[in-house]
Amino acid sequence: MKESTFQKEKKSHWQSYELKGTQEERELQKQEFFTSPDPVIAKIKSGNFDRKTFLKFMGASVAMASLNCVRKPVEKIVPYVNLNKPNGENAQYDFVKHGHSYYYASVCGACSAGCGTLVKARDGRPLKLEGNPSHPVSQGALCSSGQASIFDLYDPDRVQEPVKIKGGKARPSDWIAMEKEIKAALAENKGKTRILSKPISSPSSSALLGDFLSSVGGGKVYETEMSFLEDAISLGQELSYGKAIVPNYHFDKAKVILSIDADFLGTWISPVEFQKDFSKRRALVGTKGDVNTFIAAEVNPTTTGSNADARLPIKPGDQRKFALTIAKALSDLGLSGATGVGGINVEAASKEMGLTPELVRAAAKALSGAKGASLVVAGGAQAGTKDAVDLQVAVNMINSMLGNDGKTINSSAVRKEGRTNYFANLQSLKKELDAGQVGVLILNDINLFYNLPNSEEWEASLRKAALVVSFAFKVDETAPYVNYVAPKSHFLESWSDSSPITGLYAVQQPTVRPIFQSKSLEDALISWAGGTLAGSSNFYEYIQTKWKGRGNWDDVLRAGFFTSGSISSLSADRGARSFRGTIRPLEASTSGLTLAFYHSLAMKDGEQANSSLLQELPDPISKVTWDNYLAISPMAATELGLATNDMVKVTANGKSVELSTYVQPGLHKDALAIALGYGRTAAGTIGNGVGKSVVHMLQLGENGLVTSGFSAKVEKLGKKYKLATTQTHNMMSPEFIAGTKWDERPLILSAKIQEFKENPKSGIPEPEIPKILKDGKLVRSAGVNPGFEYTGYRWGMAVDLTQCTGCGACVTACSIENNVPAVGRDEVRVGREMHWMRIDRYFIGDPNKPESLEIAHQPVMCQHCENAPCETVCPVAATVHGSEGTNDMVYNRCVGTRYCSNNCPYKVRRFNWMEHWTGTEKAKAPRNLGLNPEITVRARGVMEKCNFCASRVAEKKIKAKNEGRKLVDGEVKSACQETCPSDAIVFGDINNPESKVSKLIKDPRSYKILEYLNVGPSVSYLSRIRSTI
Amino acid sequence: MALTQAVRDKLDLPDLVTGGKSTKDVTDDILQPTEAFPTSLWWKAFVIAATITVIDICVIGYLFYEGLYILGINNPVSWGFFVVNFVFWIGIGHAGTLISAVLYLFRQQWRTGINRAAEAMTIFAVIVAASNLILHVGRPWLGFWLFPYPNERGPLWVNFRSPLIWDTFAVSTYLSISLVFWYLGLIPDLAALRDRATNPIRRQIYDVLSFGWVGSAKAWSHMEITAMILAALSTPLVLSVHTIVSFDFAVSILPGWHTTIFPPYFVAGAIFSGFAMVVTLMVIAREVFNLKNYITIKHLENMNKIILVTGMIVGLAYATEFFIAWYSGNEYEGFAFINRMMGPYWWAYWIMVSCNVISPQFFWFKKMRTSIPVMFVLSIFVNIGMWFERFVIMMTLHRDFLPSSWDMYSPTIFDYAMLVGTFGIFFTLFLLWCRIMPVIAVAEVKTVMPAQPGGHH
Repeated sequence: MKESTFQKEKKSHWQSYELKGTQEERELQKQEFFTSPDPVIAKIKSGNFDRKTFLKFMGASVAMASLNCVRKPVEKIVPYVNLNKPNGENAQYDFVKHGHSYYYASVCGACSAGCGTLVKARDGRPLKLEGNPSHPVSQGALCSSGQASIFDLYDPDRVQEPVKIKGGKARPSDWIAMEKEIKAALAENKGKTRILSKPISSPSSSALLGDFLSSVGGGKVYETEMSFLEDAISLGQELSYGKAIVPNYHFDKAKVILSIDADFLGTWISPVEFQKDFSKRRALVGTKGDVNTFIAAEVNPTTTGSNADARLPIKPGDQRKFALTIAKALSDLGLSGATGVGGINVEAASKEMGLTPELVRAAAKALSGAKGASLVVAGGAQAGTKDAVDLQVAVNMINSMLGNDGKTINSSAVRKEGRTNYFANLQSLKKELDAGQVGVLILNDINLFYNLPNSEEWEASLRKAALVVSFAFKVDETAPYVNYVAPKSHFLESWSDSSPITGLYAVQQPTVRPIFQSKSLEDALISWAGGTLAGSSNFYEYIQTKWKGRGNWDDVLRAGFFTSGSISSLSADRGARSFRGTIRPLEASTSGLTLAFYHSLAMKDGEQANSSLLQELPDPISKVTWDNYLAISPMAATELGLATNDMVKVTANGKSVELSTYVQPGLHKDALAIALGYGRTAAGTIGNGVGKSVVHMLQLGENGLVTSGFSAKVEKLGKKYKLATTQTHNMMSPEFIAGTKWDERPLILSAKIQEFKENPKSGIPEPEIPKILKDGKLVRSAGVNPGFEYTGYRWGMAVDLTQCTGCGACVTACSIENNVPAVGRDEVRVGREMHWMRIDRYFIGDPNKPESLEIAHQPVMCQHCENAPCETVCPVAATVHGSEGTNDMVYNRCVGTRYCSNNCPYKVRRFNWMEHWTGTEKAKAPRNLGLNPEITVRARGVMEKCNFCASRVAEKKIKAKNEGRKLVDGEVKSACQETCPSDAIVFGDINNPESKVSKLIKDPRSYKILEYLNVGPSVSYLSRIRSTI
Repeated sequence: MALTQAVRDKLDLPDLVTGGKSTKDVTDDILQPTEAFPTSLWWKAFVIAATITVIDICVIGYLFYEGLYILGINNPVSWGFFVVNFVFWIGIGHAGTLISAVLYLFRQQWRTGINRAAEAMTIFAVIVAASNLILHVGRPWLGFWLFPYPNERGPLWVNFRSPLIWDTFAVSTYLSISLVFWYLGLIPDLAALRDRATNPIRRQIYDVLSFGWVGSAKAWSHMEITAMILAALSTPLVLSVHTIVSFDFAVSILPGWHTTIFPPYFVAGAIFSGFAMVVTLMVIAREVFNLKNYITIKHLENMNKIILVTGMIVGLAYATEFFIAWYSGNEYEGFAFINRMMGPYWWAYWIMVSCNVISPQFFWFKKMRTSIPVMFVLSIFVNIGMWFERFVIMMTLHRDFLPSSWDMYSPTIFDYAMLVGTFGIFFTLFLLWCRIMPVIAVAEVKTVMPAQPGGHH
C-alpha cells in the first residue's frame, strides 16, 4: 500500500513539557534512574581521562587492593532436632525460610538453675523460650522468670553502648576507648586483677577467666550471689558429711516430702526441675495411682506451701526448732541416728511453736513410713536465720536418719562442688580492696549497691581500685561507683555453656546478633587479653576447643546438651554417707512479732524488676501485683487494728520501712513477711520505684545475710495505699452468707486420696443438666440447637488440679505467646488486667486457724463453650464458633459492647480499655521486635481472650497439610501446656478417642466448672486429690 | 370526639379546663410563651442546662480521644452508668407513649392537657438514651455496624440472636414512631402559630412546619384516622420496647439477670418512672408558663394514681424475684439476691426500695396526691429510686459465678459528668422546644372543653 502523505505530515503529540524538553533532557529520560549527570562518571564513560583523573583513580585502586579483607568470623548456629523422635516429625530445614519459626537449643540464663531451652526464632529474631524436652533439668518446661527473660533482651532501658562514669555522671563511650584504658590499667597493675562474678555455671567461662588472668599476670576470680542461699547448704553438707557440695535432690523418688521454708516449687535452687519431679508423684491415671505426701513448714505461704497436704505455719526463727522437733519425734518412733535432740519434748516444743503436737507427730510418722523414699529440705530467704547453717545440719541429720542420703539426695551428680563461699568471697574481696591490693576490678552481673545492706562501706572500698568495670545490662545502682559500665550481651545474644549438674553439659547458643553494642564478658576478655586467648579469637572458638571429646559439635547443638554417661545415671542410687555433724543446742526463740524476708515468685532478687510481665504476675497466694507489702496474719491484724491496704511502719534490726499491709491467711499468728527484690532505683522505666527496698534491714551475719527471724515492731500510719490485686482477698463468700446453703460453689472439687481409692469420682457431684432421653438413653444435653457435627479436629483441654501447683508459668507464657500487654498498677487496681489466663486461688478452712488452712489453685482460661453465651449476645457476630470447636474472636469486627464479657460465666474475656500497643511507650523499639508476629496486637475498644493458641494450631495444621497427613496427638501444644512445669495442662483433639486429652476428659476425676449452665465448656478439670498425714 | 356538655354534665365529669376559659383564651394562653421574649426564669434554666450540656459534650470528646478507661467500668462490671442511664431514660420515655397512645385509644379525655409535653419528653429521653448506648461501646465510630445494612464486607450480617440487635430495632422504631405521632398532633397547632405570626419569616417557617395545614374537615378527618393508626402502632411499643430492653439482662445467663419476670417488671418500672417524670415536668411547666387552668390538679392526681399502682407492681416484682431466687435453690441465684441486700452495694438497694416501694404509698391519701409540694418531692424520689433500680441491676455483675473474678465498681468523675450531662441535654432540648412549639395540644384541649356558646370549634 502506498504511504499516504497524510502520515508524513503527522504532528508530534506531546503530553507534558518535561517530556518534550531539550535534547539533553530527552536523553536523560531514557535512563532508568533519573539522576543529575556526575561529571566524573561522565568522563569515565566517555573514556576521555586527563592525567590527573587517571592518577587519582589509580591511587584509589591500589590503596583498595593493598588492604587485606578481614571477614568477621562466622559463628554458625544449628537448629534443634529432637533425637528421641523420628526425623520426619521434627526435622527443621537447614536453610532459613522467611516467615517460618525455627527452634534452637540453648540454655536459659534467667537464673543459675541451667534449664535447657528451645528458642523460637523467626526471621532472625528470638520470640519465645520453651523448655528443651530432653534436657534433664528443664524437662521441657520453663518458669515465669525464664519465659519473661525474652523480654529482657528487647528491654529499651538496657545499656546500649559502653558508658564512662566520671564524677558520678554517665557519659557515652565506646569499646575502643574503653579497651585502651582497660588495657593500660591491666598492664600497670599486673597480678592485681580481680573478677567478681555471679556464680559461673559455664565450665568454659571458668577456664577462660583463668586463662585471662594468667595472661594479665595473675589475679583472682570471686564468685558471689547476693542472697548467699547456697552457702548454707554447702557449708551444712561439709559440717555433716565432711565434703562441701550443693547436692541434687530427686523429688520424683520421694513419697513423703518435708520442706522447711524451702520454696522448691517457686524460687529454690532449680524450681522447674523440682516441679517436674514433684508432679510426677501426683500424676493419677484413671482409677489408679497414688499421690505423694507433702508436709510444708513455712512462714509466708508460697507456691510450695500451697501444695502441701499438711501446711504447718511457723514463726521466723523457729525453723531449726521445728527440724529438731521432727528429729526428736522420729527418734521417738525408733529411728536411730539422732544426736543432740535429747532435751526436746515434742509436745512442749510444738506448743511453743504454735503447732498442734499431734500434727507434728503425724508428720514424723509419715516420714518414718517412707524410709529411703522421703526427702527433707530446708533453705531459702525465709529460713535465712542466724543459724541457717545449723538448720542445714539438722535437716541432713533427719535425711540420714531416714536413709534418704544417696537415694533422694544425690551427692555424686551434684549442683556445686566445694564450698560456694559466696559470702566469704565478698568479704575477702573487700579486704583486698581496702588493703589496696586490687588494680582492675571487673564486675560481672553484680549489683552490690542494691543487694547489700552495707553498700556504703563498699563505696570507699571500690574507690581504692585503679579501675572498676561493671559488665551489666543496666546502668544500675552500682554504676555510679564504677569507672565503666560495659554493656553485657543477653544470653540469647552470646555463646556460653553450662554444667548445672555433674556430668551434664549444655551449650548456650545465641539466636540473634547483639541488638545493641554489647559483648559477652568472655569475648571482651579475649579482646582485652590481646585478641586471642589459648589460640581462640572469640569465645565461640574457645568453647569448641573445650568441648572436644563431647561428641560432634553440630550434633550437640542440635540436641542442646551432652551427658558423660546416660541421663538416668545422673540420678542413680549412690549409697549413703555417714552423718557426723554436731547439733548445737537450741536458743530461746524470740517472742512477739517476728519478721522474715522472702523472695517472691515473680521478682526473686529483683534482677528482672524492669519486666512488666513479671511485675504484673500476681503473687500465687496473695494475688498482689506491682508492690511488696507487709504480710500479717489475720489474728495479728485484728490485734493491731490493721486491714489490708493500711500503711504501716515496720521496724526491725534498728531499721524501718513504710509500706502497705496485706492480711495474709496462713501466716503464723506472730509471723510477718516482706518480699525482697522491690524498690529498685535504677532498674529502668518500669522497675524503678516499684515497691520498697528492704535490703537495708538485713543483717550481715557470720556466714551470710540474715534474712529471717527479726523481732519487729509494726506501727499504723493512718494512711492507705491500695495494693493492686487481681483477686479479692475475701474467702469464697462474704461473712453474711458463710456457712449457709448459698455458700456452696462447686468450683474446685477436691477429695482425699483414700476417698479417691474407694471411689475415683469422690467429691464430684452429678451436674444437674436437663437431658434429652430417647428410649431411656441419653441423646444429648438439652438445648434448642441440635448441635454441630465435628468431622475434623475438635480442640479441647484438660487441667489436672492434682498436679497444678499455681506457679504462674503458664500465665507468663500465654502473655508472651499472644502479645498480651501488661497494664500497670493503676489499671490492675481497678480490675482491668489483661491476662488471658489466670490462676484462681481459693482458701479452704478457717483463716484464724492457719494450720487448718488449705490453698487451692485453679487455672482458668476461655472455656471455649459449645453453647457459648458470649456468642449469642454479640450484636455484630464478632465472636463466633469455629468449625473445630473453638470460640473465636474477630478483633476487627468487634465494636466493644462488652456484652460478651458480662455474659461470660467464667469472666475470662478481656477488654482493651485503652491503647496498649500501637503508638504507645510499651511498643517502643526494640520492644516491638519481641512481639509475636503471628498474633495481631489488639487496638483500643476491642475484646480479646484465650484463643486456644490458634496461631500454633494453624502453624502445625499447615505443616501437616503440606505433608499430607493429619496432626499427631501432642504435635500442637498450647503455650500454657508447653511451659507447664507440673504437666497439669493437656491440649489436643477431643474428636480423636486416642488422644491424651480425650482420655483425660473421660477420666473419672474429670468435671467441668458450672456444668449445670449447659454451656458445654471444652475445658475439663480433673479433681484435686490430696494426701493426708 | 368530644362529649357534649349535656352528656358530660350527666356523667358528672369534672372540667378538664378550669377558669372559665374560652377557646380563644386557650389559644392565647398556650401559644403566648412562644411569641414573647423568654422570661428570666427560662433564661436561668436554659443557661444552667446549656452549660451542663457543653461540659458533657467536652467529656464525650475526651472519652472519644482517650478511650473508656477514664470511666469506672472494669472486668466483671463491664456496664456501668452509661447503661444505667440508657435504661433509665428509655423508661422515662414510656410515660409519653402511654399517655399519647394508650390513653388515646382508651378515650381518656384528661390526657389532652399533658400529652404534648409527655410526647416531647419521650423523644428527648430516647435521644439521650440512645446516645448513652452508642457512647458506651469501645469503638463508637463503628456503632453503625449494629444496623443490618447492605455492605461490601461479605456482606456481613448482624447477629439476630443478640438482644442488643433487638434493642437497636426497638429503640429506632420507638424513636421514629414517637416522632411521627408527636409531629402529627403538632400540625394544627403549628398552623395556629403560623396564623398568629406577625413576622413574615416566622410565618414562612411555621407554614413549612405545618405542611400548609388549612383545617378543612377532610384534613381533620385524615389526621384523626392517621392518629388512630399511629396510636394503635405505638401501643404495643409501650410494652415491647422496655420488654426488649429487659431482654438485655433477662436473656443473659447471669444470676440476678436471668429471670423471666424482667419484661413485665421493666414495663411497669418504665411507666412508673415515666409518670413520675411527667409529674415533675408538669408541676414546673404549669408554674413557669402559668398553665394551671390546663394542667389541673385533676390531671396530676390521675397520674399520681398510676404512680401508686405501678409502684406497687414494681414492689411486688422485687418480692417475687427474691422468692423465686430462694425457691430455685440455686446457690448462685440465691447469693446474687442476698448480695443485693447485704453486699457492698446494700445502700443502693435500700435507696431503691425506700424510693420505689415506700414513698409512693403516700399517694393512698387524697390530700397527699393532690398536694403540689408532696407530689413534686415524691415524683423526684421515684425517679431517684428508679435510677438506683437500674444501678442495682447493673451491680449484679460485680459478684457473679466465680468469686475469683469479683470486684468493685467505683464510678469516676467522668461517669458522674455523663450522668449529670444526660439531664443537661434533656433539659436543653426541652427548654428550646418550649420556646418554639406549644407545650399543650391546643386543638385537642379544645375538644374536651365545655361547648362554647355560639357553636363548636
